[in-house]
Amino acid sequence: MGQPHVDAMEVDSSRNVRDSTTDYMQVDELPAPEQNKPADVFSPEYLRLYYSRLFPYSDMCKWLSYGNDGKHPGCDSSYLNRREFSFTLDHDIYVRYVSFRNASEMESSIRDRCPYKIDIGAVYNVDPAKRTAYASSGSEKVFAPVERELVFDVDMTDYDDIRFCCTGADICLKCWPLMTIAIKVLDTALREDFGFEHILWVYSGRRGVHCWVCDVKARRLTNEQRAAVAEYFRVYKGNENNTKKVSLGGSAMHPSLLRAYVEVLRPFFEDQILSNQGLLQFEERYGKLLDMIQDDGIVAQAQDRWQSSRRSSETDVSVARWKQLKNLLESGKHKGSGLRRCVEEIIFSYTYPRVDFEVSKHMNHLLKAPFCVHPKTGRICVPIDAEECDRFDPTAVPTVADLIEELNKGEASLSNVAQNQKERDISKTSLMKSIELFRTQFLNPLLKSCKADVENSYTEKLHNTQTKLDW
Amino acid sequence: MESSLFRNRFHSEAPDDQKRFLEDNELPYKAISTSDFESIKDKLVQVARSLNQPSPNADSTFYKVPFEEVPELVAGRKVYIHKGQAYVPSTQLTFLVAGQFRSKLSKALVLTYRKWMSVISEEESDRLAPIVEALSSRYLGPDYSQGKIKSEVALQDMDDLAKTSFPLCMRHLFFKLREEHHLKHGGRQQLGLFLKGVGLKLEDALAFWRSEFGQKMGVERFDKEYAYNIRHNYGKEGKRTDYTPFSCNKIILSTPGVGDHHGCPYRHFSEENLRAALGSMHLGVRIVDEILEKVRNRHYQVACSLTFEATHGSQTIGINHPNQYFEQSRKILQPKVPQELANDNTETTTAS
Repeated sequence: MGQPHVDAMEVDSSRNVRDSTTDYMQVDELPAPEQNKPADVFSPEYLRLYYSRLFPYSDMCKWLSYGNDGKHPGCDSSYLNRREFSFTLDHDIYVRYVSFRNASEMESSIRDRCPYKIDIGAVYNVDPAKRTAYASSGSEKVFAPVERELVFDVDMTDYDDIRFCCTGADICLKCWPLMTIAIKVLDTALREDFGFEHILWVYSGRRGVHCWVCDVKARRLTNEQRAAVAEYFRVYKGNENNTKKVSLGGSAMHPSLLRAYVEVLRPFFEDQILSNQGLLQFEERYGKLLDMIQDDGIVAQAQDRWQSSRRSSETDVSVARWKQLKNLLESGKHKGSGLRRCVEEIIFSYTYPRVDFEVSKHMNHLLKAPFCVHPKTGRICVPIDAEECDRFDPTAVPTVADLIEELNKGEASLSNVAQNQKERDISKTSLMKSIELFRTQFLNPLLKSCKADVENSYTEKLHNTQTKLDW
Repeated sequence: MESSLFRNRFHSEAPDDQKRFLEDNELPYKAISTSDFESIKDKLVQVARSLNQPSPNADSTFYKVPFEEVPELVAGRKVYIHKGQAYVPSTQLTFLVAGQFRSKLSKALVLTYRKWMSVISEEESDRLAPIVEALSSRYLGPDYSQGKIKSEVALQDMDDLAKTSFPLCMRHLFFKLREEHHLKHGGRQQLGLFLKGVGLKLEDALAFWRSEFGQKMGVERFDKEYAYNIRHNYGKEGKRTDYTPFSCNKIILSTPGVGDHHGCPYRHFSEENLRAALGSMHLGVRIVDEILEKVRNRHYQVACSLTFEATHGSQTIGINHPNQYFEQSRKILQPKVPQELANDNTETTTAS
């Protein structure tokens, strides 16, 4: 992998004259090829190349301008500039209140500083870089957020008490279905219950997913309303100090929970999670589940049957034991309401999405930008197609090293010479399909809707001023 | 709080008075039609049943409002929502109206603050300003941001103090920290601010947390990632707010999640775990049963008071704040000379 690395320098310097001096200097700094380590998934050099050749600045700015970068008189040209970004630079230097007026300013700033992480914050009432002018108490204006997408962060470590295939920062295809469940349940509820339409799901680069709800109504929610939406999704109230983590009271389930249960939770639990995680295979595991059952008789019966069983070595024993347990619980239902919802409560405990409450609640919370590179894994934070999320494979997401290699080797898949250099470069790599997904599923419909919003509110404003002038 | 009062008052009004209030204030809430009702009736019934409430029938009135207007109902999943609209039964009308009240009040407050800061405080420097200033500072009250007993707690006494004088919530956090050399954010806040109220100075607090966290992650990582927060809690960073330790009310209402150990054990622990925790404080079976009885009836603070009484052998006036528990405990276990009691603010005691 050392060889292509050096080649990239030379190819680059022949094509991009303005970079030739820096590239030349970089070549001097590189260690001799035979001393290079085997390809790392991440390096500052890969990052630099990614930001200079591949990162989609203009798509990002089109998104975050929400139609205000057009020529329509109703556009607010200060809008993008009032958005806060933050950079995490090398050596953990953290820089807040970064802002840009347009895509080319964003590009030169990012290429210049090469941040390891880029976060997106809120849109404020003034350019964040100028906020100190409004901090003094003599002024009537305060520096405050005015818009911000409704965001959700689902992190695999919040499920550590119910997954046994991995721990900590690791993930695999056996526990990833928990994320798939989260995407399906939340996406459906956000659309059906809350009426949102412009929703972007992004892989966080390591062990989770982020959700960006970009409708104008979502961007204008107050902190209290955001907290209410997050709380609407809170079902699991557990930690090691309590044993009954999910309490579904009442004689029926809320329609939103029922829909999640029937369409997603139960099928996933019974078809995948039980066997992926071997939930009932060993005593340490089924003990946890049995703790949720408040009938000692049933618990004892299950334990007796399973403890001495020789079947524990079989991986599909969990499915069979679950059937047995359901039968026991069904026959015990008449004994009291404690068992009525037991099966559902167990399934909810092991599957229902666990959202990070604090991330969603505050308008000024900074969240990692899509298309960033995760510094520990090298993976690109690519969008996830919610409709095809069953097929998303986090272990197959390209790393920045993969992309650079593709860039060096590849041939442009677009032969149209009118395309600019950036588009040609992207089309050589697997980033292309992520960018296409971003554009077709999310950006284009969003911009169409924003255009209509800008025009409508302009017309409305005109109408209001006109009627005011009427005698 | 104003909202709660408003809700209470509105709720006690007769339905006709409520309707008139809606009209007078031109609140735009319209009831849904019968055909609309029929099309979603099964969902409305599900919601009612999920809350163990009577199912709605043809006589019930429902209002269709944007979900943003009823955040409490949405948060508690107490209402059916579809495509951004919430279907609020007339029994929950109070929430709807209170939401309007709160947002109007909030807007008015913000405007008043801005006007005050920019214009009025100058003009009123002789008249209103002194009164307004005094409003917040006159209430010294038991918020424990500066301990009433101005004692300085020494680091080496912490383990003993934790065993004898910490309420169960803080005991649990403290010993979990000792055991795992780590606490998540909620736990750090709850315990950290409590210790501040107890009299632990910033330098000692930093040393304490560093000595624990350092064992698991190394002191450099602690200094880089956690020290800032501790300084922030003491009002030495950022907007320099001197945060006050959490009251029982706040702790009881918190929602500890996976990996958390904060919250109120009487509320958040399972009966089994609570029994074990109380047992480790050497409380007899009968008193533990009494405490658990209180917990079952959701009298968490009374349960905590009973624990206090059992461990200190004396009555207490009712626990509202963990620092109150601590101070009362110290009063009993380490009585001061009467002279010193009179000079609360000037004396310091050294922990023995």
